[in-house]
Amino acid sequence: MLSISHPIQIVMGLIIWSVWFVVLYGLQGIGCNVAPPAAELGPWTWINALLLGLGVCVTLLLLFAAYRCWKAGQDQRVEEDSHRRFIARISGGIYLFSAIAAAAVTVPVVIYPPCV
Amino acid sequence: MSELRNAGNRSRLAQFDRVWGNLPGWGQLSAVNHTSVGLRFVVTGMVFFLIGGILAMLIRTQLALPEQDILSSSAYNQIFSMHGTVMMFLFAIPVLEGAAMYLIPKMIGTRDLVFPRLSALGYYCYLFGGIIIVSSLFLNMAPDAGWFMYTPLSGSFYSPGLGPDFWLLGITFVEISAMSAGVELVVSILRTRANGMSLRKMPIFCWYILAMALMIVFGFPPLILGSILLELERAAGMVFFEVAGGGDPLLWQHLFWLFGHPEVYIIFLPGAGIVSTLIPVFAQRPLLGYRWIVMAIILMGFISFGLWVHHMFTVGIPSLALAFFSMASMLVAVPTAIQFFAWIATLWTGRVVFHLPMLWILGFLIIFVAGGLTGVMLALVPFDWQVHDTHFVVAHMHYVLVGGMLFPLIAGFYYWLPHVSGRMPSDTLGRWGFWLTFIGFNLTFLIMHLTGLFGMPRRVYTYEAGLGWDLFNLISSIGGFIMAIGIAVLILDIALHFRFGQRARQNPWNADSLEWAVEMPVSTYNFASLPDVPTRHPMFEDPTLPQKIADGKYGLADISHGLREIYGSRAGTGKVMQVIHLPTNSWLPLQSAAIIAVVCLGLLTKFYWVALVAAVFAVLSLLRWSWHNGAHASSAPLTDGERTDPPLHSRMLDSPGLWGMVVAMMGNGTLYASLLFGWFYLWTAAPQWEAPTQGPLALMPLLLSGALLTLAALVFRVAVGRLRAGNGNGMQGLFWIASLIGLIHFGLLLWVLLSAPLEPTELAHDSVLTVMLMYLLIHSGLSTVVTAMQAMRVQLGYVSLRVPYEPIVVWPLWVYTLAIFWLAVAAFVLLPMGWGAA
Amino acid sequence: MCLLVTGCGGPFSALNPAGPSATAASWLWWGMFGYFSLVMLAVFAVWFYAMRRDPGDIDQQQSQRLQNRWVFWGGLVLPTVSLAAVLVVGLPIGRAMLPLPLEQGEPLRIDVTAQQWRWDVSYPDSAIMLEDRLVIPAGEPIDVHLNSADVIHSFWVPRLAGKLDVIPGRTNVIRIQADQPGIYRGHCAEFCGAGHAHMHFEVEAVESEAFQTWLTQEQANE
Repeated sequence: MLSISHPIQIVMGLIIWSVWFVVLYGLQGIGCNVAPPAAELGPWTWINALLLGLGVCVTLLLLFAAYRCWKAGQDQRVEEDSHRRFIARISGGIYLFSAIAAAAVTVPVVIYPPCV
Repeated sequence: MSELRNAGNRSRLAQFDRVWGNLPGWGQLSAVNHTSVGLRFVVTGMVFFLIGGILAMLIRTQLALPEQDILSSSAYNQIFSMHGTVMMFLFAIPVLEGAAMYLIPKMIGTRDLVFPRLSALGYYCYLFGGIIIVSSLFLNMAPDAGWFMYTPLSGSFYSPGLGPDFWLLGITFVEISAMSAGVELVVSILRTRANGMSLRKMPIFCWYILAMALMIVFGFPPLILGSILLELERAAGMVFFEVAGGGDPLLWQHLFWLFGHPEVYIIFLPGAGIVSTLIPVFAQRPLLGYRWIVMAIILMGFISFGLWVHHMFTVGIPSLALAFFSMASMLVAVPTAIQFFAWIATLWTGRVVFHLPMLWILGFLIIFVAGGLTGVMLALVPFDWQVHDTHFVVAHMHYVLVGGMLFPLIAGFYYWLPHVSGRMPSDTLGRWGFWLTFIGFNLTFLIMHLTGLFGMPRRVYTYEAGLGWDLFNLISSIGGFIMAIGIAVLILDIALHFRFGQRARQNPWNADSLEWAVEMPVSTYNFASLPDVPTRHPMFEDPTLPQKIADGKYGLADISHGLREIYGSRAGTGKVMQVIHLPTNSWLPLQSAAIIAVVCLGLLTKFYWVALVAAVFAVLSLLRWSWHNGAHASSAPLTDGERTDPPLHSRMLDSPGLWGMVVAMMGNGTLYASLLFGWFYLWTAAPQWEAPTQGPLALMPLLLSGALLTLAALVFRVAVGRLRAGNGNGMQGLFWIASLIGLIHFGLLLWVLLSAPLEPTELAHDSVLTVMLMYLLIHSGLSTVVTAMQAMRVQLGYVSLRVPYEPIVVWPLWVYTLAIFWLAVAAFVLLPMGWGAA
Repeated sequence: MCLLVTGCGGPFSALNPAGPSATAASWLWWGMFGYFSLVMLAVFAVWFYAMRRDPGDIDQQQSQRLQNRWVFWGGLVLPTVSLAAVLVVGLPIGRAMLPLPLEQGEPLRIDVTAQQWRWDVSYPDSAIMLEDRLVIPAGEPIDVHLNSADVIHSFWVPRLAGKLDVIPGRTNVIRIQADQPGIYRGHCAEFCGAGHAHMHFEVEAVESEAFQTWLTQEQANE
């Protein structure tokens, strides 16, 4: 795995979020073009289920990464090196926010029908 | 004369002035120095601001009373389109870029930006492009389809005049400057900070600008691509946005807002950066929540790319998709709130000194908070459906843009004025300027929310009396004129201060950051010696720093060699690793920009052969530019006793050039990704998409051409590998071979394009394919040519084991060319084949 | 506030709703306006107090604590709670505005084709054609199917519902409903060229029976 204090960690959470956002929007669009479910079904369709499942996975992944950064911040060696601590803390915060953001953008799939 | 100059350092500083100074007289046009170029950006931007402001006054005059016909519908449409265009593209972004270019090197403790000639090129592209766009107003053929240029209204059928062409070509020309500033600021901030200034010691403003610059790199390419495609549709009859043939007008909206929304944050971030810089200074207290703010900046930078569809809530996209974007739009409120409360915490713990800049910060607070809150309302889809495209949105947008950008910018002007002029601004006139602007602004736009809720749509040149809009519009117009008077007072104040302002002492606001350690008024080289900066508040900790720097107590104090030198440092830790030689004054930027302007005018007036010839000259001019770089014998001659601690950048594998190349390829990659997006979008969503049953490209020659490209890249890779391993054998030969194979690949690919039965004027499928092939050809050609140049440079000794830097810079270009080729084959040939078979 | 100025009237006022969607949107406005005004005033008050107050001597640790408290409560909790509240109310309201299938029966369909600069209205079940005017039965949901013959326009009757763009090559469907008989004005909301400012139309809502009579009469006239 990538070192926890590599500067790229700072943006990794949001890169994952961005990819998820594109996938979310893309799958919805393609799903509605290829096999649009009937509007009567409301949100109870295969598209919503698929997106919800994926959304949960992405959120959990980001939460795990946030936890890892937080753990690393507690580490004695990192604790002493202020540059590494800085990166670990910022990345941890951003992973956490990305997890919340990933969950938030997924929420509408439980309310809205996919293609109307 | 600055108070820092004394008998001890005078002659040495004079020598610095000579080496770093601009040429006299007309020679000023060859200046590449960041201070000069940055100020030129700012001044030019202010001129465009006044032009945009006059247009705004015309709009308010026309709308002051119902059923007026001071302006015709056509004139009004030109005016509101140009108001938006000028304010966004010719004022807001360039001014902020200019301010950043001026400030960043001073804040990170270096003498210039890392690609000085690129700064100058950017400026001239901006200037010429801006003149071209604005000239359309005087020719009465300005674009009249809105600053957003929605197709099909902006297409050749509904807008047969030259207006949209002025817009598309002019804006693309101006965007060269944004892209070059973006690349340059990223690399400068990451690679040329003072020794010991690790990421977490950077002044907070640098984080904001780093985010802004990266957002420019990723945000502008979709617009550039969109403009190129629309111009191709208008001029060459290709099909991208027209329904018949398989285009889709919504593709334009996607591309435009993919740029358009990040752009709002590109404008807001530097504004917020100014606020974050000024608040601690006037609270006389280090900024609290530095880490929180850094996090907020990064969050904004990313999330702002996930909002673009909120400009398209009413186009009929399924609600579920709208809801994704609605959520993302609301999420942005969180990082904004984090910053606001970090500022409050700073003020809470500080003792606030009330100077003029602080007044403008206060104006920012009030206006921007209001604008942000209406922004949250607009992010809610069911409410947006009511107020979308009404004056409510006009009001909201001016609250965030004027509040988030103009007010902080003016605060910044007042704050950094002493830097430029060596004098302090006056208090009385300045306060008048503030209050008039502030009151006028709120009078204009607060009431406009109601105008919108009462149902007045945007972009109408007149309206019936008695709809409940009359009084509101009159008040808005009166407010607009009060604001205009305020701006006039402000300009008067700033102009007068250059003559009558009190002399400023060193660091007049008692600030903490390094830009106040330079001489006042500012010199061209900023620092006569480059200090270590292992702290976030160097001026708080050592107020004598300016004198010590002027006295040459720190690094690179020797200027007897007559070369412009700065330190190159590591991106994360800020440890110095090399000395970078910067180019001096040069005519190449002006010359290149002038030739590109001819290309632009040739396309505009449809003298295509002129454009073609000029394009060839532009390429030649740019190649000549690349020939005279930092490793050229004239700037870094190979001598036996040259310094090795730290070594010159051209003697190392990791150089700013490499970073510049990689960042530029990221922007380029975004352009490519936008094109791929367009392809998939049209394929899946265009109402009348049509693809030929048989793929139009000859498959075997295409694959063979790809194999050759791969081979050429591999040969180049061998040469680079040898260089890295310290083995200089046969380099020249390898470069020639790579270049030759590249040439054959190019020829084959060109043949594939020419022999294919493509009908780009009939089918969107063929149009996109044609553009993609041309894009590949340009990159293959470029890789081939620069590799041949490398071979020649090995011959001349500019590239060798001791000077290994250039091939390392060229390598990412090959990787990129290879990647886009195979991706294109996968997306345009293999995927449709597989899809058809399934 | 607007009550004081002129009343919320005006033929185009979104604050003078006459249909379910517009009513929901106007409630959203008043709710958000009230709540956000409070938030705004609170932020101003805190900010002004923060500038005026004398902090006394504050050490590093204290300011650290203060900072975390402000950022946590103001920067994280405040927006999260506010947004959650807005969404809990807003998302279902948005859903109710969609042209979803009705519990029973089909909504009346009207086709509208926009072009520079007029609205061609037709009733698909009959041969009736109107220009710049829709006649609808009051109290019933209507699905308006929107097509464009040239550039992008936008169909908007502020007192009845939000707006929907009219895009060439696509058919967008917007649901409108008038609670009471009356004349409701509408206009094009997307900039569409020189005549944009004058691209108005009217929706005339009549009682159900009167609508049926009108329908038969018009058909006979055709």
